[in-house]
This record gives sequence, C-alpha cells and structure tokens, in this order.
Amino acid sequence: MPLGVKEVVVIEREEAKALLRQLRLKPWQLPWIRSSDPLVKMVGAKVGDVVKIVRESQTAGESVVYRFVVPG
Amino acid sequence: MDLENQLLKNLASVLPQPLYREVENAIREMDRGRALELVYRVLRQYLTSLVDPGEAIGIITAQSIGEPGTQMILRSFHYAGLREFSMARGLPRLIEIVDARRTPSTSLMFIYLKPPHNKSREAAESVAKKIQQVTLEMLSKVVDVDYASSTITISIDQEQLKYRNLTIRDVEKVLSKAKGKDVNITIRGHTVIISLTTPDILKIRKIYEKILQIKISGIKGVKKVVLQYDSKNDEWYIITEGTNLEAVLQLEEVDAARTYSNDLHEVEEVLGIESARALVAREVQRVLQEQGLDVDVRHMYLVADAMTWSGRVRPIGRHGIVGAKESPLAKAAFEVTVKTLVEAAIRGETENFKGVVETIIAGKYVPVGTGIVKLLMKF
Repeated sequence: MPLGVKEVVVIEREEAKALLRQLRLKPWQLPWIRSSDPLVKMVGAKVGDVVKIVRESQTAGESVVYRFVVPG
Repeated sequence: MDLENQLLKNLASVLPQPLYREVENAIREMDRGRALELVYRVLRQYLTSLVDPGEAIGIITAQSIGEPGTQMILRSFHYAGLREFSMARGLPRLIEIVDARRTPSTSLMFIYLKPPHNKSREAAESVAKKIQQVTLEMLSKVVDVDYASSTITISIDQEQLKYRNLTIRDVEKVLSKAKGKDVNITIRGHTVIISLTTPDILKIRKIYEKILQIKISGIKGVKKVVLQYDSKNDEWYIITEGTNLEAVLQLEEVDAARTYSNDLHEVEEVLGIESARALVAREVQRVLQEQGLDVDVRHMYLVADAMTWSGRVRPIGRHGIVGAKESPLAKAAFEVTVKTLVEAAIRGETENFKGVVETIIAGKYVPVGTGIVKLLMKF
C-alpha cells in the first residue's frame, strides 16, 4: 500500500446504495477518485463504483473514507 | 463481567482508537468505581470536544495556519555544504505546496528500504549506488577532442569504475547501444576512442556534449544521493535530489509503502490521489514544525482534503479551489473582481445564494452555525 493508505476495497453496488442512503448523499457528493488512479487500478474498480479507503490518521489512528470513481 | 465487556465494546465504537487504547490501558490498574468514573469523564470530555454541525471549520483552519504563518521565515536561504540539500523551507515551501506547483524548487525522494538492506550503512550504500545516475562524464578522467581527425578520446577512471561496481564492459555495452550510424567506437584498455565521419566542428562539439551525458547505470533523473540514519527506528534510508518514483519503486529492495517524493504531482500520478493528500498534510505539518509552530494536524487534513477531493491535486486560489466555485459573486469577491463578473455576465451564469460569501454580500442569513438549520412548523 502506498503512503498514507492502509486498505482499499471496492464496495458492492447494494452496499454502496445503503451507505449513501445512510449518509443522505448522492454519489457525486462523495470525494472523487479518477479511474486512472493507481489505487483504482489496483482494486479494479470501474467508473461509478464507490471505493472504501482506510487512511492513516494521527488523530484517529485509522479513518475510513469513501471515494466515488469518476472518469478521467 | 459481561456488562463491562459490553461497555468497553461500545466505548471502542465511539472513541477514536488512540484515545480508546489509552483509556483501556489506564483502566487495567483501577478498581471498578474509579474506572467507571474515568470512562464517564473521558466520554463527556470527548463528546463536548466534537465539532458542532455547521461550525465554520474552514475559517478556523485559515486562522490557525495563517496566524503562526506570520512568524515564519519569509525568505529561505539555502544551505551550503555536502550533507544538506538546498531545500526550500518556511513560507516559500508552504506557498509551493498550497499552490501545487508543477516542479518544487528542489525535488527530493525519500527512499526507505526493506530489511536487511536498511540495517547497515554498507547495505544501504549498495542500493544507493544502484539508484544514482552515473553518466560517462562522471567516469572519465580525461576527455580529449581532436577536431582534425574527428575523434573523441575518453580515458576512464578505473577507481571510479570500481567504486560504482562497474566494468569497462558495461560502458562498452551502453555505448554500442547508443551509437549512431556514422560513429565508430573502439575500446583499448581503459580508453574509449570515438571516431566520427563528419568533419563539421559544430557537429562534433554537439556529439561530444551528448556523449558525456549518456547514462551508464542508475536511474534517470537521480542526481545526488545521500544516506541518512534514523536513530528512532534504527535504520538507514536514502534521500536523493532529483526524482523518479516510478523507476525507484520497481526495485525490490525498496519499501514501496513508505517511499515518497516531495513532488505533489509525481506522487499523485505514481501513488494516487490518497497519497497526494497524505503528502500535502505531511509537508505542511513538517514546514510548520520546523519553524517551531504548533498547529493541530486536523487543520492540515482539511487543507489536504480541500485540495484533493476532486481526484486531482488542485491549488488553493483562483486557478484551483476558489476558481471552481459555482457562485460568480464568491469568485468575484476573491481576486480579479471585474474580470470575473464580466465573464459571468457573458456566460449568463446564475447566482443561487447558497454559499457563505454570496449570502454575506446579499445580506442574507449565512449558512454557518445556527444559520445552517432550517425549521418548518407542522400544524
């Protein structure tokens, strides 16, 4: 895993839907990640997927972010 | 007993891990009553410390970085000397990061090694030799150009060859691969003779300059290599001037999880946007710490998130984050007011009065703090 990243996974469509409902967000309101990004390529995510990224954090130890895969 | 375990489990889901671990360790030695009291107090303190919904965290971040920033070195001077690199520090470096410059004033790579390569100086040095770019010029002792007979004679320094773990064979191999049609290369002992067919002096001069810059070994772009010892983790690591992350990460001795360069765009491309985010936060923190300024990391995280949420590294300013704002009034309030307004008018942009800046201009309630709450009465 590259600098600052602990884990990356693609989230299943159904799970992503439930997550977005819970956060009351549209997918594009998540932070984005480009489909050409090395992390995206590594886990094989497609445009429109949501990836879960576990970051290193000095305050929280680990923190979880979700990024929406956009073309580019 | 079960109840206590349940309590700890719930606590773990509420508190951040480092805080939870601290509580867990502290509780171990305590009796039940004191432990409960501690958990209660920590929990209350934690919950009151959380940021409220609608808090203007961006403004707080701006102030928290801006005020200590006034005490930083305004202009950086470069160190002379063998060990240190002339690296931008203080305010110039901070501006470089926040503006997401294409090329930092000095691009450095921090290369960490896998054990056992990081345990001794010798082991690290042998990796460093592999990395550093060696040109023909660095290996040559005397270079002689004879314009009359169109020959370039290079005598190779044997000690240099030995030091870099090379042989004359390696030089021969590289040169024969690089040579063009009308060039003849012969090697006698440790002397390389290059005879050309053109009598044109300018051409010979050009070829001569090119030949000396031919890479014999190492990684392209890595100009200077310095070994550093980290006493905290008892390991050697390598700092290089000039970066080529992509090539360095291919080496099996290199620990790809920790190796990085200080070039934001290179990191974005090679390691991805998440690593670029981590790098922004880390570099801003390093710059402030070097100046003895104590700013909470969460402010750096906010800056880093703002710069990277779109999937690319964007500068803070009218070419980046501010320029990407939807509201024409908010953009106009930042920089180049008239031009922004004229352009908005030409394009027929609309103002929705949703953000902070534009609502202040219009004298409406600002969507911050209590202003963010909307209530509807139900009869």
